Amino acid sequence: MNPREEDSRLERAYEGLLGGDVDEGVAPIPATPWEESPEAGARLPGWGGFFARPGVVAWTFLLPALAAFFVFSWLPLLRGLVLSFQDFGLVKEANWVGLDNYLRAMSDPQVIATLVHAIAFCALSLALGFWAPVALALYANELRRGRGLLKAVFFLPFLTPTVPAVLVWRWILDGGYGALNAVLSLGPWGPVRIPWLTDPALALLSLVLVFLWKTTGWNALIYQAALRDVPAEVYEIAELDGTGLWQRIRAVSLPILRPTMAFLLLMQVITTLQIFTEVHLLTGGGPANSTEMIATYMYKRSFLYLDIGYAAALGVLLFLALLGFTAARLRSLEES
Amino acid sequence: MKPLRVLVFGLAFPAAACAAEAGVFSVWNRPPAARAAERKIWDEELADFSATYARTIGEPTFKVNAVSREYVAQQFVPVMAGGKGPDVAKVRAEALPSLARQGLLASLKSEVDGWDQRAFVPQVFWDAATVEGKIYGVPCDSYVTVLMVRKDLWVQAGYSIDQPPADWAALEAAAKRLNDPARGVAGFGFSPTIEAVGDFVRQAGGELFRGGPAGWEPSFQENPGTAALTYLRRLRFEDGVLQSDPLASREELAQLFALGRLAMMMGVPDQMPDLISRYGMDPGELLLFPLPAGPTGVHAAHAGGEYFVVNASATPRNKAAAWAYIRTQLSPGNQLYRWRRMNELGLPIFPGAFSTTAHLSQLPGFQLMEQALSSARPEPALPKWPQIKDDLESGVLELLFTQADADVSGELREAAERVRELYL
Repeated sequence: MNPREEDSRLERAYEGLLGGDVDEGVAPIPATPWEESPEAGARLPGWGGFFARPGVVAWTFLLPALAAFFVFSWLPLLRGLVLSFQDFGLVKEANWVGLDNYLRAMSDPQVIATLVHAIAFCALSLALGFWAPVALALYANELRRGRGLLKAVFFLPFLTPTVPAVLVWRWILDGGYGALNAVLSLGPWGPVRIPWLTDPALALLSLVLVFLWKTTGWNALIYQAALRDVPAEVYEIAELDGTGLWQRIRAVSLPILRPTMAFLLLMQVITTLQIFTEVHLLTGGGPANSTEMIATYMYKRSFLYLDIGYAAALGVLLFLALLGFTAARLRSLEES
Repeated sequence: MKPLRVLVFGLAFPAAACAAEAGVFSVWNRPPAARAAERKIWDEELADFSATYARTIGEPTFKVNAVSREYVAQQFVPVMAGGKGPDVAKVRAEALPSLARQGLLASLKSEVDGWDQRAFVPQVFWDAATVEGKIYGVPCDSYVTVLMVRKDLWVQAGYSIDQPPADWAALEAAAKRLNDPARGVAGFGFSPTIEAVGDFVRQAGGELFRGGPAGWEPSFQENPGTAALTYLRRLRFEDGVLQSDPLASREELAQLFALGRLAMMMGVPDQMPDLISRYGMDPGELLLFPLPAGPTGVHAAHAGGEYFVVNASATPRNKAAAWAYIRTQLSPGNQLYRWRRMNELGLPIFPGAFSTTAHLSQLPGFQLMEQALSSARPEPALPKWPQIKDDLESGVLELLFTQADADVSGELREAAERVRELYL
């Protein structure tokens, strides 16, 4: 059976399940006791009766996950919120300080600087990297052969664990013995010693490049998945109509990718504003604080300065900013 | 009934375990399993101590719980504050004052005052352990900063191994002569940390901070500070003799040095095990020189290392055991035993592995330490030293070592203002 026949068979099966014509060979799913009569289920003896109640099975399955979320996500979130209103030390008693930590954050020049760096990082990574995965996905989609290999190649950085990958990048980008400078030195201009990570003007750009190397493959894969939703007939019809590659991309692929692009744009903004590992390992926020981001600054305030209440307030502010941005973006997407 | 039994057992078991552990004497400085030979010697020493001490106090059930944990402030402080800390641990010199101020450490003044080895420990190390007139730690693995030189490159350049660079000019000249970009060799390795810069400031006749517990004032922005940083920046930007990454960490420098990519570096003898065991450097290729003198003729270095500390919440029984343990560890007999076993097991012998009391005894090859100790100082015991250090390193030193056109005195003045306002 070829894929098209398989699809139409499944389509008929779904129609049957949804109440249309039942295809021969596809049996309808039997109704559960509580769907037939909730009271009947509840009358079953012992545990059977308990689990037959509507919703109990669902909640039983959900409970472990909810408990884990509560303990490891929501509880720390609430604790962080409480800490943000306290002057908290590891040894001394915590004191309530009201909005002091928030007011300090508003007037801390370092917070303003980290915001500027984060926005610059976000803008640079969008400018340099937003279209790269789209282009990769479109290219892979057009390939007749080697599509799997291409996908494997661009997905590989995403599979590489971040910490060793970033440490290798440190060597690659070293100003003296780094591989990148060694390769560039092969050019006709002779030896180069570009301080990729130690020049404040270049360090942020280097971080963006490492970040894009890591994330582009993943984004391309999501675009690829979205493109796979386009029925082959659409492209065939477009080809029969004599459309060229560029027209096909513009008129068929891009409109289909638009919701995915909107979603990934949102995700990229959120991810870049929260970036930590790459910065912490590559530059540590330096040189001269030129790559200090919100998350690395929070980390320093919390674990180096032990200014835990203040760091918690910064975390809450970041959370609120991202929440606001996400809500606004989702609303605009719904409206459009 | 069954779930209830499980619950009772689950709650009772940890409680029973805690109760059983309550009388145990615990030590936190056991070397990790990866350092097998070191750990073997440590275990031998501990077994000997346990048996002897149990006999001495007439308590055959005396038990020592040895834990392999390095000092990490974020872990150590909450554990100590929660009353679950070890009876004895090793902490770094710069961490000791703040731990003592937080009431986490027991005063050892009366014990140290009656200790027959006290006079053999240089005063500089006691100064670093003294907070408000009380002694809170006993120096164990101590070091002073030195100039580490690769013997092969040094001799190739025509220098004699018993003629260290005497002053800043000689250091600069040697760094220029040893620097060989074509072979990827940098003349001098320098990690711009506040401690390392502080040595040069003191060589120039200044201090990073002046004062004491009654009140500290920044003084790194004065002329000696400017002179020290101007000199170091000249090595970087004019002479081009520093390593390619101006912000390289001490560990990265050690790696480059062991690989022959650095001819000289500022370091501490405690790095020797890493250089030899981890990076494969031949110990015969390593020369240790005192730091050069600055314009004032001072060979200033800084002293640091680790201290034995005792938990403030240790019971009297465990505090007595803790002091007996420390005294045994640092006794000349035990130091000599360790020295012999390290030789037998092929471990690199380096001054930091021995107590400062042994530095000044007759162990061969430690004369340099004695000389360096005469002018060494500990890091300033400022209340917010970790914060000040981070601020100065990331806010000022990183800028001065990466920006050729930075205004040294202006940056230092601005930093002094900021430090005064935020931390002092």
